[in-house]
Amino acid sequence: MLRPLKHTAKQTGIDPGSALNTLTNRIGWVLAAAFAAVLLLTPLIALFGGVFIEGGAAWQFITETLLADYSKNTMILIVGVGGLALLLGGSLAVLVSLYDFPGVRWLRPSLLLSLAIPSYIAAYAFVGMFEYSGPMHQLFLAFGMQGVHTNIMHLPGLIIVLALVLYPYVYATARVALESRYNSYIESAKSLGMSNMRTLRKIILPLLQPALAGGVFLVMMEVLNDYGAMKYFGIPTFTTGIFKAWFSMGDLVSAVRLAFLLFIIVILLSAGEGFYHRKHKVSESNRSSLPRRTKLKGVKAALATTYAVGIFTISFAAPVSYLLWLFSYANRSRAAEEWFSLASNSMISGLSGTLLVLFFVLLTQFVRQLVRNKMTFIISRSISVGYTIPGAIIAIGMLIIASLVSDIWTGVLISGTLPLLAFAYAVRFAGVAYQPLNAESEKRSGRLFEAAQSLGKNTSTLLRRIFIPLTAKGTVMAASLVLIDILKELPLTLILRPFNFDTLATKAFEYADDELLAQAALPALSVILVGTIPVLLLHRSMKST
Amino acid sequence: MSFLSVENVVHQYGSNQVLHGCSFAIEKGESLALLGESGSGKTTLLRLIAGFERPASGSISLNNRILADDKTFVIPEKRDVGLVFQDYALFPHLSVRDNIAIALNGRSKQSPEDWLRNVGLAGFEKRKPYELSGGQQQRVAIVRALASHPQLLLLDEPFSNIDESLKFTFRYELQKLLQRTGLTSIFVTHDTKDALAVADRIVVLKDGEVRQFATPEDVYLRPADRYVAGLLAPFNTVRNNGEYIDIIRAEHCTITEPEGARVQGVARSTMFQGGHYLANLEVDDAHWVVRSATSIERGVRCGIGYDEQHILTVKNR
Repeated sequence: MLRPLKHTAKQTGIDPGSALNTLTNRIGWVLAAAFAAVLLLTPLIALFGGVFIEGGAAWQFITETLLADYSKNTMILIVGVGGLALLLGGSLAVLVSLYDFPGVRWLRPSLLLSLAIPSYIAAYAFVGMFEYSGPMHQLFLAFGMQGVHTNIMHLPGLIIVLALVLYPYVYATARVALESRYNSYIESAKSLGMSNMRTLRKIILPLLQPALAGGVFLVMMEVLNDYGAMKYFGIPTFTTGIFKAWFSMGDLVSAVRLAFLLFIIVILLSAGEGFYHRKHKVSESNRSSLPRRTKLKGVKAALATTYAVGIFTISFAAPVSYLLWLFSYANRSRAAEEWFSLASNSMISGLSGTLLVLFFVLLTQFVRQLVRNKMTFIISRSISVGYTIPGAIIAIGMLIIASLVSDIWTGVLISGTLPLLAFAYAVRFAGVAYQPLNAESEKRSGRLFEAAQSLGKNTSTLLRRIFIPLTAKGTVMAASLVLIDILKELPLTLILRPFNFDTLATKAFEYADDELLAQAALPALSVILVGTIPVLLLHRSMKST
Repeated sequence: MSFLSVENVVHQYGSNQVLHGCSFAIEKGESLALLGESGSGKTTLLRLIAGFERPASGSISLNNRILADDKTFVIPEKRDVGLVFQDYALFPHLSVRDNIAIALNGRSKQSPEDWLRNVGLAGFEKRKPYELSGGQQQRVAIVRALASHPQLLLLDEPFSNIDESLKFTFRYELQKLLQRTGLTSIFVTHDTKDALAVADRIVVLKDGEVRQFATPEDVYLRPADRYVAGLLAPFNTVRNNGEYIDIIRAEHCTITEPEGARVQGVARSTMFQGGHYLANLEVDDAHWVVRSATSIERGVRCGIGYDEQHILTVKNR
């Protein structure tokens, strides 16, 4: 969930009369798009249905002994990580956007980098660093600090680790807001004679609230999507509960019910975010220019640099260096040999998922341009629903579908097959492709479509000559973002992958979970390296705003 | 020393020099227009006076206090200079009342309500800025700037978001407000009518250079050069003497019978201007624009008359 999911403004301005007319002509296309949209919603529909399935051998045990912990820990994690990420991301954004101090130029992009580290990798890297044999403990010993307790495998430790890799969501949304919109407000405050502190307190922070809330919302959604870090830290939550019910207890019905409860949390959170945004809707000045940064001097400058460099070091430089150091202890010939098979598995599942995503999103976007009415708007939007839903929930929905299929057609097993995994990826990540493709086709092809239609061009000509060429750039962008997200994905892959099918992500997690830290280093570093690509793209897009 | 003086101000963005040594000065209570096309540097000049940009060289002083020169630079919040932004920049999260209260900051005995009543916005206190019309927002923005008790009020394109039909009233209102408060003000505009109507003095800027600094009457009746003359109203070149040219305004020309006229031309087009017509005539290989009471048919040959006393001699640049 890298790109902030900003709900784009109303795009439903249509003329109902002419829309009806074109609708009857192009009914086939609309039906195909509607079918595609419904298909992508099937895991959720299945989940709703699954709640009413009788049985669930372990359910009583789960409700009596585990559910309270799941709820408590999940809530503490959401609030704790959200709060800490808000503090880190918000303070860093204000610091680098409004102030000038040594190193600020390279710190601005660098502070985004920890976003490239998936939480399950961060978890084991941090635990490893603070272990008895790890570098931090060695450092403490070197300074003569014997017996310093450095166990971080507890709830507060997990909160800190997750906040360190997730704070860039808040940092990025706050920075975009600060740098694109607030300059005239800041100047206005200054021309009214307001001091810097007063401007910050009275103007900047209140105005920044919606952006900060948006960032925190993304952080919380990522916390709900996490499985690997929680499992590694041994903290029982809804996600780890779903895995336990399915893998350890073999109880799909209980897993479905837990997934449903998690889904309700997601819905509540989204609703809360939506409500907040409506309440804090402000019409903003549309002038945009970079704020003139105040130059910090002396102690203040030193403190600012130390703080920002410190966060960068702890959140990114240290874990990555540690993984590199670990890799030097790995059996390198075995690691290299294995790497090729892991990477090719990652690419096979990744590319098939990406192709499916492109098919679904391009189809619905094309129909949206072809027939501009409320229905096609809803169809094209609904594609991105899966992006807000944790992978574990989608995976459980897919398992229900798979078991239904084998109930209806005896002997047909789709569970644990590559097509099912690819389809689940499409459900989860279609929203990633929706953003760039929708932006591009709304921006560029809308008017041209109308022009071509008025010249009497038929539908296939529209598709071939206008839609595909105009969205080509967006398609490439969307495809690479989707592919990268799939390569990093863990919980969904763990549940739905074919037997003995290991990807870079699953193997990095499994080795770490089995305490084979050195072996985990290479796949983990590969995933981080791939993950830096969208971070760099994010940085570029932030610069251009 | 004048109340506000800008001396030899040079400004550059990177290597791009946008102001080349601008100088002018105004007295307390005067209203100055910075007139120029987009890219002339007028907004930059305004931002330099407000303190949002720092001049590369030159000096700016207000009420015997240096705001910026080689050694000194007073930050915007300490300048006592109010600025009304082109997009008003009302704080969107604050009510109309709080927008003004934040500027008052307990400095004045007057309440925000008093200020709003002054501009006919009583009863709007609780509204958010986006609930106001453009004109109302602008009034709030002006009042907010006034509430911080500035010595100098700057207005960035105050007329640009006003409907053409309301401009007349607005010019009048603004002039009245400025006169009533006795405040010294500078406003930026690209519309000559605004500058001529409201300002006591005008600075005409072209490519970062002051082409003329004078009263509205002087700028119109005695333009310094060809550019200034053309910015204000259409004119025709009577004689070209190289460094200087003699010009005559369209409104000082009359259409006569072709016989015996000193200039003869063929009508190419006429444009109705409301009270009169502007006729475009082809004279030899040039075009003349002449004010006419009636429409002239295309292709008609006619004479152009004018009085020598209306001829202006301006620099040819």
